[in-house]
Amino acid sequence: MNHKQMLTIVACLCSTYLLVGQSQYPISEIPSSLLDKAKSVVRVKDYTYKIIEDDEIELTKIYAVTILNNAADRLGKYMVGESSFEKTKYLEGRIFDADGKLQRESKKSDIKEYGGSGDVEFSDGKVKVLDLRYNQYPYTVEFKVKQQIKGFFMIPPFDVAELGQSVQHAAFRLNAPNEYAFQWKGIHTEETPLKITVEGRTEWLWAFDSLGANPDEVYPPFFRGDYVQLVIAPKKIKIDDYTGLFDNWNHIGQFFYDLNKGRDQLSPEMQAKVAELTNGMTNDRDKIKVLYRYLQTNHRYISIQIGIGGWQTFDAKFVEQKRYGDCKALSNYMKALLLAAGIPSYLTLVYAGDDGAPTLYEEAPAPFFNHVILYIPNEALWLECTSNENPMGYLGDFTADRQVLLLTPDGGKLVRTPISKSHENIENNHCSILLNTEGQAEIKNKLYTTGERHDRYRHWAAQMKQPELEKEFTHHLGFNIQKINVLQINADENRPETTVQYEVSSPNYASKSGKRIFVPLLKIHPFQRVLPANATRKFDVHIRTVYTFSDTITIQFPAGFTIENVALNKKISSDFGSYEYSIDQMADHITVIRRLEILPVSVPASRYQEVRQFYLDISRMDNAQAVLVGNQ
Amino acid sequence: MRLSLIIPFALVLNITLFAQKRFDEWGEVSPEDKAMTVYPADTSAAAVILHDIGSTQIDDDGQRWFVNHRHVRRIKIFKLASFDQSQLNIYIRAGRDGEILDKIKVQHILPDGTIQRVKSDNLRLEKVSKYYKQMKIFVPQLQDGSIIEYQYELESEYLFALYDWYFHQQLPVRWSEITTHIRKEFEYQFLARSERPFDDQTKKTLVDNSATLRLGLANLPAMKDEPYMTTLDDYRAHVGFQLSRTYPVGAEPRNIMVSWEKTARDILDRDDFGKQFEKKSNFSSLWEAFEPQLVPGESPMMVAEKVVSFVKSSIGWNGYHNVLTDKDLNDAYAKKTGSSADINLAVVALLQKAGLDAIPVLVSTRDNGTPYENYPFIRQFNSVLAMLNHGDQHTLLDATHPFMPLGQLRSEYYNNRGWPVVAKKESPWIDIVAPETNIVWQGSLKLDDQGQITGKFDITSTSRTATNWRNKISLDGADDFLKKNFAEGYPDAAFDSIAVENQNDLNKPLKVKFGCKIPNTSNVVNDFIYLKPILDFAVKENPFKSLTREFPVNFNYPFKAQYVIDLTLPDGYNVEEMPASARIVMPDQAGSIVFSCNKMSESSLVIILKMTISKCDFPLAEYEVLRKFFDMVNEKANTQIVLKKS
Repeated sequence: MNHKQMLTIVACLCSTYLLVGQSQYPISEIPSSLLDKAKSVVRVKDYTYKIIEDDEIELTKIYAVTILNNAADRLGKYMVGESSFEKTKYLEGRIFDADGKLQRESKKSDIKEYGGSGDVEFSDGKVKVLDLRYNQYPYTVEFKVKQQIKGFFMIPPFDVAELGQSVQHAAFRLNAPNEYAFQWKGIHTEETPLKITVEGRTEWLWAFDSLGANPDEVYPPFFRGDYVQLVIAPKKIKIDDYTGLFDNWNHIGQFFYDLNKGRDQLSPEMQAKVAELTNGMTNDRDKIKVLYRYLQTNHRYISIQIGIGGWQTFDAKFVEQKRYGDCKALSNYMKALLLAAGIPSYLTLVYAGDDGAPTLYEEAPAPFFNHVILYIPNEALWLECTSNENPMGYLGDFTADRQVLLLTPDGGKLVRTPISKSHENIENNHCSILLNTEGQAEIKNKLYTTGERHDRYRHWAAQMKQPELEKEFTHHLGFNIQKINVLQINADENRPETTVQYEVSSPNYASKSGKRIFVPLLKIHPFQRVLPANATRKFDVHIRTVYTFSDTITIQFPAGFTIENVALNKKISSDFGSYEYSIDQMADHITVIRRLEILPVSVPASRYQEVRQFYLDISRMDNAQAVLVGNQ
Repeated sequence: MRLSLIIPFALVLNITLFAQKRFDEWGEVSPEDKAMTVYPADTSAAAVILHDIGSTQIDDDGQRWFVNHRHVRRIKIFKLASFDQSQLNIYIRAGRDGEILDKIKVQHILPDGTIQRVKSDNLRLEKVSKYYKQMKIFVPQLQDGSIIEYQYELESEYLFALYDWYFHQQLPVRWSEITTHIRKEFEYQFLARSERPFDDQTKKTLVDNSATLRLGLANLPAMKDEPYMTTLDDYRAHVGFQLSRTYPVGAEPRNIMVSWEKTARDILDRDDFGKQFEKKSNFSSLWEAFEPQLVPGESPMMVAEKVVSFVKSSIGWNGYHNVLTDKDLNDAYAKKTGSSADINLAVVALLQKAGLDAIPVLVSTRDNGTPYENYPFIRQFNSVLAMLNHGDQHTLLDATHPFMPLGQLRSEYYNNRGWPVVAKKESPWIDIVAPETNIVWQGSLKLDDQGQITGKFDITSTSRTATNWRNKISLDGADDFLKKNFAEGYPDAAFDSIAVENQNDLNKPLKVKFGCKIPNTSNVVNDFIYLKPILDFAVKENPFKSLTREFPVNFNYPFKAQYVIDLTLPDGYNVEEMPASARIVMPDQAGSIVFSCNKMSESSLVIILKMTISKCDFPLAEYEVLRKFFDMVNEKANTQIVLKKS
């Protein structure tokens, strides 16, 4: 976009606000290209972030969105968070009908306030909600908000639009003293800011104009809905009396390191306890193991969302006394235990979540983290300190395979947690099935799982006693059972592995019809990933959940039955994985051997159909059956 | 003072005096409890409530009356890893009739017997909403074998209803009791509900004419939700108290809401209820907008149709159930959004103004529990419907859902009975019966020798299913709707010539007609084709996988599904084996399955699968039957026909 166009937009935005009393936001002003695939249209999204001090910011937001049908109704509700350092100056809204006629202006009494937090959490956060959902589609809501944040702040990334939403005009303005230093990066956009300097202050303005709606597709190559986005990273920040240079990851890490320095000292009694626990051990790994176990069996996780942005950890002595803490406090406490045993470790900032994490950029370093783990450099070990169950060194899909920031005495280091490979996520059934003439099956199975495939079973074993476990297990099976004879789960103490042994009987496992029995071969453990048909895929395909299944299933026929037909051996291989199915037929039984490997996928949209077809082919093979026929 | 008891279930009074010690004193732990590592009555429990002791009394400070409720709870933890810490939360009513929390004391008895006072820095009071706050207790050094006990008092000036006491909890409870002390100036009615007689039921009148009542239950099992039930609260033993009369000193006794008649009169008199439809100024803007639609000589049902669709399009449901309006109906109309009270009282208002006999009906949604008819407590209801009386009939109206046909209600309202608000002596409760919901698939199909099926389908649905589908079709379009909801087991299916009938004609069945091409429906091996003729059905897997069940099954709706196709076979193939026809009927015709497969000609078949569930309630004893029934439905839906090359 050139300079001249930019100015026109600025003028246009301003004039929109000044037209009071006249029709605003009529639907007729939306170009038809912006209605395509859209559930809502951003008419104006204009955010001004005004930097007052390094630890004070004022946010002014105007957000007007046309809601085309009730699929986007939630946008008629606006929420603002509040806490001891975030205040809302005003929150107001207006509703316009399709013709742009003002229907209603919000009143103070329309704002509802909610507080409270999860069951194992304490926070001083509150939410103010202004609900202007209106029952006449299409309609437009316009919200105006002003917030003030004192204390530490981060500028959240500016999402220009969500998926399924088009944009008429959006603008992000950063207003700060001339000397204010920051870095920025546009994601999926080439826009550059316009700079206006007036009396010692500068306003940087990024404008985004006429963007069509993007489809909400499965397995996109970016995190959640973060598509067109602007990341702003201030070069300097301040929390209470701490100021920090945030111009690169090393300095950011240094800041957080210093903020938490000296909080890892144990009491003399606890130091003695560490010595006692590690007494006679010469190997660091053994010491880590015993201390990690000590943490896991004696402490519990409680989320604590108070204090300065939740960045400074509670002192190790706090956890020592309470035996509970949040992720920072427990990680810091573990660090203290290790330190007492002479083992150095680093607190590590991470964005946790099983659906991935936002990308972090060198050119615009902004600490988008929500969790803390611990890294032990000498052993290259990662510790999740909020889990009472994980084996030492196991992260799981909550924190694996993403950028994290190590807080070392030499500053921050941006590294990646290990990616989990398909051979590390194994599911392995060794199963024998005995059929009777009615299709009932007596099933004996030994299920071995590792990595991301094992979490569920470890969790069950740790949390549930037998009756509850049996109930959960019954629900989880892909077929109906009548009786559980054996059910036992063993979770390996040292490795992310479990073995589940079970013996059950399933009345309709195979189906009887006349003189035939139809026997599903892989009902124990079928492949289940289905990609929806999509002839117009737009985004690249990015799939990170990978695994290997390898199963041996022996099926014993009832007397007097022989095979009429059975699916033949098959091998499929592709860039996305491989599949091999083979069958060994004997007089009274068959043995099915199936090996399936699902690899990570990172391909352009044009290959979506290929990926989909590969999964369909596997699913079809996994539906294979043997047809038995009685000889009477 | 008096207490009168209303007992909904046959309750045998236990007259044996409860002489033994009911629970341990604060801080005093028996050696057995100290040593307990598992709760014998429920070995899978992560923790047990050893005792839950409540006492409620009315008091005065010379200026005003107030209610004081004291609660003492002791919990033993066996497995901290699976202990739900929210069991330590205290809920406090906020707002106009709010409670004040006071005298909270928490202590932790460690496995070695040490007693630690839990200091206030481990307690957090949070405001959750306008209506309640919660106090969270974070106990330091909590571990397996810990015993926690806490006590607190709640004080409130709200005398009308006393603290509700539930005996069953999410954890097993060894002993639970509530003692209520009522001064002579008051009379309360109470409703006690328990499946079995109380283990302790002690009622005493004291010399000062005050009275106490103590109700206790021992050894209560843990209660957890199961699918297909209304709400756990319907099964928890409970006692509630409501003020019925006061005896002011030197004045005549005063009756407070003792009958449905009085209850009706009181609520009809309220500004946020009766006055909303009685006073035109409260709904004038609605009426002005609506009135022009009226045409003289229309039948009551025609007017009702107009009113309901007008209100539906004028006030959207904000997701809240309520008995009372937020502000007035004009305000809801201006906002174009409101609660069920705003919406359905608007229906009452417009119908009445149009000269029809319409009244509100109070209901309790399924998750709010079953209301009791001999219990004139307004608090048991949480929502309101409109009812039109015409001739000797009545029709219930609900305008909270845009796709609900006239006379049908949002599914959560089908909860047995409702109370029409009329100030009459006889409380005229009405049945609220869910209409059967059904789906019919009708197909005319052709199979080729590669296992591909092509042809045409008509799918018709009514009632709840139709409402859900209409909603999905309006959001996603018919094409996406079919992709997501039809023949889900066949992701390769392609559809064409899609036509939707009656999408907006809500009183007619919804019809979706389309052509389809579905590859790989059947296994083609050697000279055989193993054909699965049922491409879609109402039941995809048995909803009752669990081998055991604690509570009766309650379906929201009776339902019926019917799949009928004619199928032309590929040239050169004959039927080698056809599945046997079957007819399976549950006891009392509560459900049935009909399956048949017949030759229409040498090259074509007619296949029919029908299932019916004709009642909503299945007692626990029928669970196994129900489970098997669904197994059979599943089996039939996966039927295979064997074809062989001739």
